[in-house]
Amino acid sequence: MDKLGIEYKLILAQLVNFTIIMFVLSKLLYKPILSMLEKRKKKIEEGLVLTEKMKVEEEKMEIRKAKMIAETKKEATVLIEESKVHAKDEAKQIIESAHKEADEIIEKGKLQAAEQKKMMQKEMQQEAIDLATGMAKRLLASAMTAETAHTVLKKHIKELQAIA
Amino acid sequence: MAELTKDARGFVSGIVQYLEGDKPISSQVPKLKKLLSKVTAADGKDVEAEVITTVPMQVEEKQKLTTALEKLVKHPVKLVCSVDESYIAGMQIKIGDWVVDTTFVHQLQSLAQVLGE
Repeated sequence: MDKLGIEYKLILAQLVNFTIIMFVLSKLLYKPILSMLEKRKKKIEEGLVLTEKMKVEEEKMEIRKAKMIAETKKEATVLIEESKVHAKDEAKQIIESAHKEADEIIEKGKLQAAEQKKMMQKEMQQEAIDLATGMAKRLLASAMTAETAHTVLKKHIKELQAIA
Repeated sequence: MAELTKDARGFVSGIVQYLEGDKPISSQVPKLKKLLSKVTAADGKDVEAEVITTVPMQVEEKQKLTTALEKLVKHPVKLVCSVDESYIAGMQIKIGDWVVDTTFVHQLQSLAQVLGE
């Protein structure tokens, strides 16, 4: 072995050195690095899980959002329909009320016209009576003679005597 | 005075007949006899009767009216006569608060009132 240049002592020393270095490195460097790598891996895995969760949540949120939009649209449609129906009802009521009011006005007008007609008829009747009475008075006054007046007077006195 | 036409004469005659015939004087003095007797008996003096006619009353008419009124009120009656041509015909007698109106004007007014109703 000496001929080949191999020294056992040197090799042994190197082996011891190597073992020591390996031990030191393993204790002081590899383990922390491995631990750090493990931690990072774990964190990445956690991040991935979280991302996955987030994706699921997002999908859920999207579904919920779509559902809400659909519901809102439905509600809005119902509200619009109800409003239309309500507006129709209100319009109907307004028209009915207007018709009723118009009927009342017409009825009132008819009554007023009838009353006015009645009043006019009464006035005309009164005027006719006044005219006839006035005419009768004038004619009687012009036709009345002293003789007739005495005849009437005597008749009335006779009636008084009959009562007495 | 202008002479009346035939139609006007007929009208006047109809009115006169209505005024004289349909409402005898008796209908205008309901319970007058009793009431006047009570009123005048309480008083003791002569009763004054205001009589308004359309022509001056003749003596005979006055006597007959006085007698009739005295019988009604059972008291001596003194007539206070006056003339108002606007009454057309008939007479108005006032004794106290009581009035008997047989004038044509009054009857025409009553007729107009009845027609108006």
